[in-house]
Parts: sequence; C-alpha cells; structure tokens
Amino acid sequence: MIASLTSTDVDEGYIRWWNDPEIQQGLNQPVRHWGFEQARTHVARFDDHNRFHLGIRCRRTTRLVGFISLFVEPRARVASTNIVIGEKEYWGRGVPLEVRGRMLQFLFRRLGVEKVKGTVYGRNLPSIFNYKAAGFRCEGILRADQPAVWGDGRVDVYLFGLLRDEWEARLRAAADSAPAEEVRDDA
Amino acid sequence: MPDRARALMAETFGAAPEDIPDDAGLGAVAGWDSLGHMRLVLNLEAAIGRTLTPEEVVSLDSLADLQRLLTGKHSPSELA
Repeated sequence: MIASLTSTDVDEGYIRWWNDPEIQQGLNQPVRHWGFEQARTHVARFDDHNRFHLGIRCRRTTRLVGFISLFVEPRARVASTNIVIGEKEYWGRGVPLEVRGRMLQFLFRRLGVEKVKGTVYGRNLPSIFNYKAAGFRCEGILRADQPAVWGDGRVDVYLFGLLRDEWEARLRAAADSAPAEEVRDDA
Repeated sequence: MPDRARALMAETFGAAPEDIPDDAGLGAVAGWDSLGHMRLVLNLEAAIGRTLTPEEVVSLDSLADLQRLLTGKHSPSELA
C-alpha cells in the first residue's frame, strides 16, 4: 500500500532509516542524526502537488516499511523519483518493483508526466537492478561525479529514465502475454 | 551457450544449470532479484578477477551478457 505521508506518520522506524549507515551509504548520504522534530519537518516540506512523499506499508500488517519521494517539474512534465525500503527484512522481496509500478501509473496516468527519472549513486547494484527490471534505461553514467560520503574517492552516478511511450508499450506487452483469463479479469 | 556462464548463474541463484534457459533474462529466473543481481555481479567480478566498469555493470541483462563479460568481449554499444 502506498499513501501520502504526514507528520503524524513519523515513527521510530522512519527516523531510524535516516540515521542508518547502511541505508544512507546506498544513497551516498551521511547519517542525519535526526529525531522526531527533524523528521516531521522533513515530511512537512512535501506539498502533495509537485512534491510527494509516499509511505510504503506492508499490506498484511500496515507497518510502514519505506517511502517514495516524487518531484514533478510541471513545465517539463518530468518527474524525479526515489524509493527507499527502510525495513531490511523487506529487502530482496520485490517491494520496489511492486510499488514502482503503481508509482508509474500515478505519474503517467494521473499527473500526465511524459518522463520519469531516477538516479543511482555509486555501485548500488540492487537499485540498478530495480530500475532496469521496471523498464528504465540507463541514459548516462556520470563518472566520478560525486565525492564518496562513505570512504575515500568519488562515486559514479547512474542516470535512469523511462518515457511514457515505453511504459505504455511494456503494459501492452504484459497484457498480450498474460493468459486470457487474467486479461478478462483486468478489463 | 557455453557452460561457464550458465554454471555461474546457477551457482549464484541456487539453481540447477539445466534450469537456466538460453534466453535467461534479468529478473526472469528464480533468484534473479535485486539481491541476486548484486551477488551475480560480485561473483562475476571474482571469476574474472577485476571490477566491472560502470558501463559493464549496466549491460548485464541476460545469460548472453554474462557470457560476453566472462570472455571479455565488448557489446556493440560499448564499441559505438
């Protein structure tokens, strides 16, 4: 389940993700040392108009397990996205793929964007997999583009993009390859 | 498809080599999920004794790509 986060959704788990070295290392970010006040201030910065901060909840338990941040450029009709699965027991379970599908539907169909972008900092191999598995293309690699927050040296930055036409084509291909029963059920 | 790439993929994903089809693609084999992909890249790097370039990292989409990277051949897009 994904739904807009509000300040009242901030819990100890959400704060822990921002302060977790392993999670922040994957984003090439430092730990924040946040408490409730900083986390609530962060959530309040999203306006649900061009900036969205959506909580990802486990369908079975409704526990908050991660979040999606969306930044829409209305004039260009382009959106930048970021998905973080904070609860590590949900890593490797296909959560980003599942929620990215719903996120893309929201962006392309509801908001009418023409392109969705994502950025991977350093060798975050699971994140690279998730973008590619969702149909994003790697449009460029900015070599040694950012100083490494963790360790020495610099990190490469991978730029991913998915056009609306490409997304629509993937949906058609999936529908064409689905068994007839499933197609009827979806209609 | 030569056996080396298939064996590496099977070992990484805990599958039998005969369960890896010739057209095995990203995410289409049991175990080839986000963490499986990370293990595949690391196992490939251990096998070839070097770190993949960023271009090579994003080019790994299939069993055929794995074979190409194992043998050190370049993809057409890398030569462009």
